[in-house]
Amino acid sequence: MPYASEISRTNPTCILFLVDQSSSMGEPMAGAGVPKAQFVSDALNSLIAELVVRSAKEDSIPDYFHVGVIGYGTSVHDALGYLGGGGPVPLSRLANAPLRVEQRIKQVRGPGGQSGTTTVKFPVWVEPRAEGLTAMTSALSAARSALKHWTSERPASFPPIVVNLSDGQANDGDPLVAAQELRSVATNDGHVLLFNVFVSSMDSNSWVYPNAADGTTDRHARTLFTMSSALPPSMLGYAREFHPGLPEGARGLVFNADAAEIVRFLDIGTRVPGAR
Amino acid sequence: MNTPSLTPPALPWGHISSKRGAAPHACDDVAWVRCGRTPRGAHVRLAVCDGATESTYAARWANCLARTLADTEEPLPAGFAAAVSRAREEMARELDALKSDAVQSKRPLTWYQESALDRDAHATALAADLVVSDDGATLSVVAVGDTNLFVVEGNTLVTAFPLTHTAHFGTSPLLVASGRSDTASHQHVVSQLRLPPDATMILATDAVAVWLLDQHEKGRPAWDEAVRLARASREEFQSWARAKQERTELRDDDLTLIALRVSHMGQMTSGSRPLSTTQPVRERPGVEGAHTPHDLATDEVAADRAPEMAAGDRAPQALTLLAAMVIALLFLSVGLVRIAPSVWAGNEPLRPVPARATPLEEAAYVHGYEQSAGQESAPCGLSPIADPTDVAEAWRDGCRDARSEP
Repeated sequence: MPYASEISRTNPTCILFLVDQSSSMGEPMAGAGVPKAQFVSDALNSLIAELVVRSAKEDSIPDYFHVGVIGYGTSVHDALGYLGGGGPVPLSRLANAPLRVEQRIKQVRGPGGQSGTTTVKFPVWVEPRAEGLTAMTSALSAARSALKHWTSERPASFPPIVVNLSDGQANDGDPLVAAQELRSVATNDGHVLLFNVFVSSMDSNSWVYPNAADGTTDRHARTLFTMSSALPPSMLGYAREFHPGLPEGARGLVFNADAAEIVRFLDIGTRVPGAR
Repeated sequence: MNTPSLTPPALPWGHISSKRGAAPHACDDVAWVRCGRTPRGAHVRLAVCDGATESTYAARWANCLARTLADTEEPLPAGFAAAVSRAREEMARELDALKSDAVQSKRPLTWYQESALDRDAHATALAADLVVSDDGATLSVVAVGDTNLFVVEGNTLVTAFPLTHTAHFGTSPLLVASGRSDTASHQHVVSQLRLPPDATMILATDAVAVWLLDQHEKGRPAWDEAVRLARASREEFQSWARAKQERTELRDDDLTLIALRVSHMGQMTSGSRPLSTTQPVRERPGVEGAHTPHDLATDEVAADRAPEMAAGDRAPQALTLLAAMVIALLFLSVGLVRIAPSVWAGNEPLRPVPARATPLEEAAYVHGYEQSAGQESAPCGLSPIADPTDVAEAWRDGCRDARSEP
């Protein structure tokens, strides 16, 4: 059965984020009160921190995950390149080398339900950036190259997960072909999973986890639908906790969703079986 | 009265092994054991906990919980709630000490160690009280999650608890949290069993448990194999596990396999009842073989148990004899004492058995061998994880001595 490989120290998986850093990402994010670039980098940094804290043991961090971030604007770059480059980075290395650790104020709810604030440490690996065009096709091709190499060294691993966060259409060629080539990369446990998040300035006409393209008339949304992989059973199970009745074949796509839905999607899309 | 035959002792054998690629100490599975005597008979308390992978302090919590479960005097199942409560207090103290140490040693915690302090750690819990008296052997078990107990006779499964089918195992078992926001420990399940005369208890954390049930469901029961592996050397056990993991027949997880042979002479004294049935307390409606979550506040099972247990109190002399035999066998099994006929006859006072809980990994080897044999403070018989051969030989020697004495 595909997408069933155990994830362990000896058999890690890879999570690769493709982050749109074009100039339009400087516009406000629907429902978040911050620019889209800031929202996306905060969400990514939180997610990486969550992966670290979930995996960490008292005296070590097992490398259940290798993480990569490819940024794309006019060109494509390794957003974690400051760590030396060379592809996705083992989680333990990432954990111990954030760019900085900020102190942030977090809203909390007390035992009696009263709300308050507390200060938390917030590590930063990815900076917000918004300039230039949208080289999404090149980013998909770069992901394919990186994962072809990564999977050739770990053929038994749970297939890599690629999450593409963007607010616009590719202007460097047809992303469908590049997406198809990326999804053709595989381990013995299945093909690379490609999920798409359309980060919008609007929070209307949202379209989440569709299983057919006829749910929208938006041409770009249909393109992203075609690019996206279906959720494997374990992730479909998680998604159904928030969207009961989600049908088989639901794809890893959220379009025009609000901030909370996107954060939830990132959690679902990076939840893999075996990590209890 | 029949002449008692020499039977294998009631002692746990077993292995606790970390995941592939992990250091031996990087293991979230923990087992503790405490032996002693109660007015009802010889008593063994076993506690096994499996720390959740996604908790940084899971191993610490699993250890804290298992140790407290083993150490709590109050019988199960009623003692479970108190033990969890004590374990939480102990865990809070340990984490406070960790923070103080970091400050004093000027080696601050990393951002992720600090973040993890704000979160609960989680672990499964399985605690079992085995009481052996002249009325037979009874077992009270409390469980949260997918750490499982099997009672077998030979290569036949008598009962599995709390999960009875491979389909019941998933990636999100119930867990006991280290914080007070926990609700899972309020959903613990309870079972009481009367053990057959030649029963073996097998305790296993999820990876081994699901493999055992899978073999059972496929009509290839491996209970004998489990007992053999529990008694095998660590190298043999690990070699077996790695081979199974290579073939993806066994999950790459921390592994715990403990076997406890419970031989008791159900027909030794007149008036004793055949002990051939097991009685799980409740079944969850609609889920075959699964057990009902049991609320701590209304523990009907504890009340149900009292009359049954009282049977042992009606025959104090026979009870003493049985307790003497079981405990003597426990000692014999680790070579701590050589059994003399007078002990068999129950005419001499028994050596005191410490009531302090002992971590299963080290108990027999550290306390049984490295302390001199026969010390008053020697604990009950435990399988030496490091080298069971020595124990087996000591037990055989003891048997020969016992048989040769007039």
